[in-house]
Amino acid sequence: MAPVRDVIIIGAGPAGLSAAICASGFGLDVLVLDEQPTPGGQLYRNIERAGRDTLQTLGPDYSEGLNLVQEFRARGVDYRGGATVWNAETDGTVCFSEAGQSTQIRGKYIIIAIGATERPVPFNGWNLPGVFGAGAIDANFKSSGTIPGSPVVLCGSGPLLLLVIGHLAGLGVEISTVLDTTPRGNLLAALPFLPRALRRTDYLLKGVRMLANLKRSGITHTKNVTEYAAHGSDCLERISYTANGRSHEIGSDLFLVHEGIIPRCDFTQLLGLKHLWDPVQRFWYPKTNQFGATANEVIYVAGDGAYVHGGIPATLKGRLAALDIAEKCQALPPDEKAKMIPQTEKKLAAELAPRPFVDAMYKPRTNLYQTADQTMICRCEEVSAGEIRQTIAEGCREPNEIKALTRCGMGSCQGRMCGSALSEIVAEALQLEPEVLQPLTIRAPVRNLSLVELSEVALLENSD
Amino acid sequence: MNHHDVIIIGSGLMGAATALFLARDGKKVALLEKERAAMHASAVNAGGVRRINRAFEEIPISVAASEMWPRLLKIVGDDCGFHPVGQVRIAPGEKEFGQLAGRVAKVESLGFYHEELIDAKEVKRLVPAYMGSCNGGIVARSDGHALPAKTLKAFIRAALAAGVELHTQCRVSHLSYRNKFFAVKAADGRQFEAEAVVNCAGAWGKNIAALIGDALPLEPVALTMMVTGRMERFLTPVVGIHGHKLSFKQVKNGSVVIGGGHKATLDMQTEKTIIRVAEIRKSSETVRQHFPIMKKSTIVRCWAGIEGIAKDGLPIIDESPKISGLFHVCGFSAHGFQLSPMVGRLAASIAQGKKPELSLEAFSMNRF
Repeated sequence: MAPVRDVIIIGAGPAGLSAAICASGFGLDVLVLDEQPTPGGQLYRNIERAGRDTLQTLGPDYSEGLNLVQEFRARGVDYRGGATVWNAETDGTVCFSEAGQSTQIRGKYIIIAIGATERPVPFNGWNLPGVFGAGAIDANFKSSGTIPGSPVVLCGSGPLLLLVIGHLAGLGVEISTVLDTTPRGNLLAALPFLPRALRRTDYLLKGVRMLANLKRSGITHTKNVTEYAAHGSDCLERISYTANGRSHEIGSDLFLVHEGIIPRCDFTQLLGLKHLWDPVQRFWYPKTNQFGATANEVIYVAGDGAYVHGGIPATLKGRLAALDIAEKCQALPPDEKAKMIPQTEKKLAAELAPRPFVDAMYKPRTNLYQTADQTMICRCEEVSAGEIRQTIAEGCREPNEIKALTRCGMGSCQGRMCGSALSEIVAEALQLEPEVLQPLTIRAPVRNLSLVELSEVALLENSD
Repeated sequence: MNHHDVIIIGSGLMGAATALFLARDGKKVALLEKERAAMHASAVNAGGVRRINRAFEEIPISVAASEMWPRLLKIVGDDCGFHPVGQVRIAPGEKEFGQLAGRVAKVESLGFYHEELIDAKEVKRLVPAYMGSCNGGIVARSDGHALPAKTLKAFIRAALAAGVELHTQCRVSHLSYRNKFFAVKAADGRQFEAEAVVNCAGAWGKNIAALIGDALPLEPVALTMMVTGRMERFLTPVVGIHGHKLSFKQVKNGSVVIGGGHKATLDMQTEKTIIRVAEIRKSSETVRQHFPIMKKSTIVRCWAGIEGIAKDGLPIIDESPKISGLFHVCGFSAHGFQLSPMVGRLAASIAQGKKPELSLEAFSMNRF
């Protein structure tokens, strides 16, 4: 494999695929590295193998990805599925693991297109077998066609939750109840954004249709849920929740929770890039310009990893990054680029018209991280909220300091599951916004790596 | 103006311990920290508590410190996670065994008996997972390891309880001496005054000394550690291999912590460290060669701490040759953790103009 490429794209979801199509169209030497065995990302996961039934059940939001994947395949781009990137350096050097072997390679430009992830929100019993992310169950269906065999309870808030409800209902999964945690006042707060959102009635109608389907399906839809917990000795047996101020309990062995999605920032944080805090959606996202370029001229971020906007905007953001890089590589004359950019930006702006409304509508509830002291925050190292609060009471002010003292975030997930909660708990205790805190430090290897594989990494020749 | 008897710059372990013992002697102490405590070497080192294989000059301090480690609960109100599991240094060949035997003889000639020469059979008994070549080795049976972050926290807590004033986010930018008083200014304008100043700024010690015209031959270096996922218990003592860059231990939760002085890239502008793949690759090669059981391990995390390395690898514990009342206590060269409780006592003595309990001649500035 050529050790230096024009562009290395990490992730083969909507943004990565679109960037690859665009960049290769200008003759750039592109390498796409993706964790999954087939292209499509989370949204279009396993789409090449999806049968007609699956395409029908998952609807156009899923099936429209097929064209993108087919176009990508037709380009003959160097694509490595099942390739896990575990390090990225500021000079464009990347290490990835493929079939148990790691390779170091360098890109003149890197596009990080690793998308978003379900926001991990700790609650009592979240580590019990039987509790899953709603998006994870959806991904599981796309990958393997398996669906839950017993009735499920869905819980949380956000457009993706509605989508998953629709998918599961369409697949004939019995949904015993939907516990909706969307705060009561959100709709009112979102109204000022409605006129702008109405520019995309198609998008809004989709949402309305999803809600209407939920109503028509006869599934119990419990609103104003403010608290919930999972109970059981070895696995999930019961779910307790508070709705409209009253406590309830239901039996279930499958609890699917979804509290929105957040950008995956582990690589951009590893690279020491600047991140911004979104106080409405409560997540960090890397600082980029309109092309997804970061302060490091080698590193670009595209798609939901740059900010959660959804699938179609991700393809447009991928294209913008590729156009900018093509110009820098002198594969695209500046005047031609200047003609192409406004078209793409216009499309993107149109796609984003409903976002302020949707973001305000699904603004996370304020007590999202007001976990009980006994709640396990770090599942890897078994650190409770109480232990974290204890160290704060003793004078700790920074998540990294608490990490050193309690081991919260030191386990095999490197804080991916507990990092947000840790920052929020510190912020709440000290009455500040998480944005003034330093997020947990991320270092290589970003993904767990076998020692044997590390000892055999094929290094670039000039590596020190 | 904020007046104190002693100002200590740097709230790492050396600074915190020095502050603690000064305060217990009744001194009014300000402890100035450029960010917050527990950012660098003191809180993120490998946690080795060892007398074994020390430079001969350091042995008296190290042995005195080893008397303190099991008593830290009494001294600072916390056991600091100290586990006296022993430390073993393996001789992979005849040559190395000869060197270690010569070393033990020298240590004993100085009147110290903590290092014990052992044969290959005893190495095998102590470290059954070791599969490299072995001609014996040395052991210090009551050495061990502790938890650096917990230790630092305990010293700071004890120092605060003893009356030390801790000023965080207080980056010293000016240091001057006039009319028997030191004036210390922080970048944000805070000002302090004292009769004595102790520079415990670790990797930044050189910069602090330079503020007043002292040149310390010490350089900041970032050293890498790797940690594995949990493994079934296979190792009790901390292990080093003579002639190899490896320090190896299995901690309480089953993770294996691997060090050995492999460098990381250091950016002193941002004070950040970046792991070098080529270095952790080398480190993992050494590990799998000597401990085949590690072939089934997974690296979950690496980190690197910033250390101040002195030109000859020995610390500087001395009064400034230019200005009396200014003391430099830094350059512990990646092996200060175990020494710190004792260094705190010694530095507290010299900062008060008292004769220290142990000779500090080997750590003087005029040796360079």
